[in-house]
Amino acid sequence: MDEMEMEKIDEVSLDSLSNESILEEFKEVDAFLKVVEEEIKRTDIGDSDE
Amino acid sequence: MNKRLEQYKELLQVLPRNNVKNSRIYMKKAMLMKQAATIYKDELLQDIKRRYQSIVIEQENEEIKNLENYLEDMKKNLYLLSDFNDSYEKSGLNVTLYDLKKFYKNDLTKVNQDIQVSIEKFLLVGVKLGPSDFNYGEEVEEYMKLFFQEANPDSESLKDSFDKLYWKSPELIEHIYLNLRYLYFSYKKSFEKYYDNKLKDVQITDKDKYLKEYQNYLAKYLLLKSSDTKILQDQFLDGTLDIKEYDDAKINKLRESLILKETNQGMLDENFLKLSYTLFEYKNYLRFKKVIDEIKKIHEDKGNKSLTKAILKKISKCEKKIKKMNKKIRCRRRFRGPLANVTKFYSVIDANLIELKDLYNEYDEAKFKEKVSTSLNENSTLLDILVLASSYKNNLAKIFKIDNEDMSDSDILNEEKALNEFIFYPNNTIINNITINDTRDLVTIIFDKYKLMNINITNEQLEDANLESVISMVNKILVNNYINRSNIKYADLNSACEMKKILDKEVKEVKE
Repeated sequence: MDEMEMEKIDEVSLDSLSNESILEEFKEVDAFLKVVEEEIKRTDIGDSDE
Repeated sequence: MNKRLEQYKELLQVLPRNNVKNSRIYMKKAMLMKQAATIYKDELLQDIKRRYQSIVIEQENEEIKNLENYLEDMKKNLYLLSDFNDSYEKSGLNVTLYDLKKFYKNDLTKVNQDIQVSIEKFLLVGVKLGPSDFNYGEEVEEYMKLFFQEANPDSESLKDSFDKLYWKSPELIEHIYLNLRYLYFSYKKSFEKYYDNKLKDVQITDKDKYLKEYQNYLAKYLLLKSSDTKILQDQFLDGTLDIKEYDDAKINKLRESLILKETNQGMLDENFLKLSYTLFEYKNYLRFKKVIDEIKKIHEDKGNKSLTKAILKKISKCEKKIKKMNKKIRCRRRFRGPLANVTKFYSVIDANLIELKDLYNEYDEAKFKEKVSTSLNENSTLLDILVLASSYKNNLAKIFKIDNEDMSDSDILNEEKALNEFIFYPNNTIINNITINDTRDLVTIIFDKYKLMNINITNEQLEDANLESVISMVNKILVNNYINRSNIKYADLNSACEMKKILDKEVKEVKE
């Protein structure tokens, strides 16, 4: 996965999604952000060996 | 689930962090994922915001606001409608002076405000009081002279003066209270004339017609307000109502539990609306049953018909003595100068004031009992009882305190407000038809009536402890009906509630 791939997550137009799907999508991305932030925190203070 | 997010999650799990190099790569990729997810989240937020704005109704119903203003104006004159009380109660002097009598419950500023408000009530009816009207004792004279000079209830000099005079006469405020009661009787005709004219001024020629008109508008207002889509929507959005409790499946279950057999939907909706009125009425009947019972007791006592005459005679005797002593004081001072010895006259005044205090307490109690005995008859309804009770706020407060001696003033005020709301409630059908001697069981009446209307209300549901629950059930059915009839879909409303939570949270996080 290169940086270009990271630029956009939405594969479909948001307009085509129902209210319920948008809310679901938001919850997913919000939950993901919490996970990734946690992982960054863990890595940042990491216990990696040289 | 979004495939790209799925991939990201997997990547986070599988990318190695076993050494510094890998950790750095992991870190870099995680940061990129975070960046991409943040951008996506912002896009979603914008979209949610746009959708939220397209769902919610912003425009308020003008008719509700107009009715509210109209009712507010009409409400100002409702106090003039009671035939049960006289100008002492109509002016509100009864409440202000009651507060003054209980001065020890308040601070000096409030006490001075009460004196000020009382003086203004006299002024309203055309009586301009001055220092010379206050002569119930030497200290009263001195204090009130300064009171009129300062013309500010919060004045420092007034406070200093009070401190000084209080130690000389701890009954100072009580004496001002008694002085004001005397002044009311002296100017009673001015008060009566004012409140009689007031009816004409506000163009009330027919009290019943005015009340009916007020209640018709109130009925319309209450129905519009409870069924208004914008108001209901806002209650869902701010969490006052929980949207999850109002979906069709849940409401159908509630409806099924309350109906005897399936029938015309329109008719049932109408019956549920009527049931909600009855339940509100019955709940308030239970809330104020103590008041009804106490007044019934007074009414049954045949010895209450002529109580005030003898007390008023004694009051008049005491007040005449005080007047006489004041005349003597003035006379002596005129001839012997301001330092003349008038102590013995003031002693007579003080002795009479002690007696007057008890007499006025007796009088207030007697006036209420006499009014109950003479104004109510076998044709009087439970509503008449409550209207009479609400016309005598001090006596009403005493009834409230029978079962709860420590009831706070604010709780009493709340009860009074609720009673007032109840007596003017336009959808009452029971209390205005049940007479004072009627011993029928209200639960049975309600039960039988709604059975005929195809609604199954059990005796248990009408018990005090269960009433709130059945009221809530019926209200939910009504709200569900209103939503289904409105131009907003339940699903959209449900989404809007979710969206609002998300948008509020984001705003909060940005602020933090």
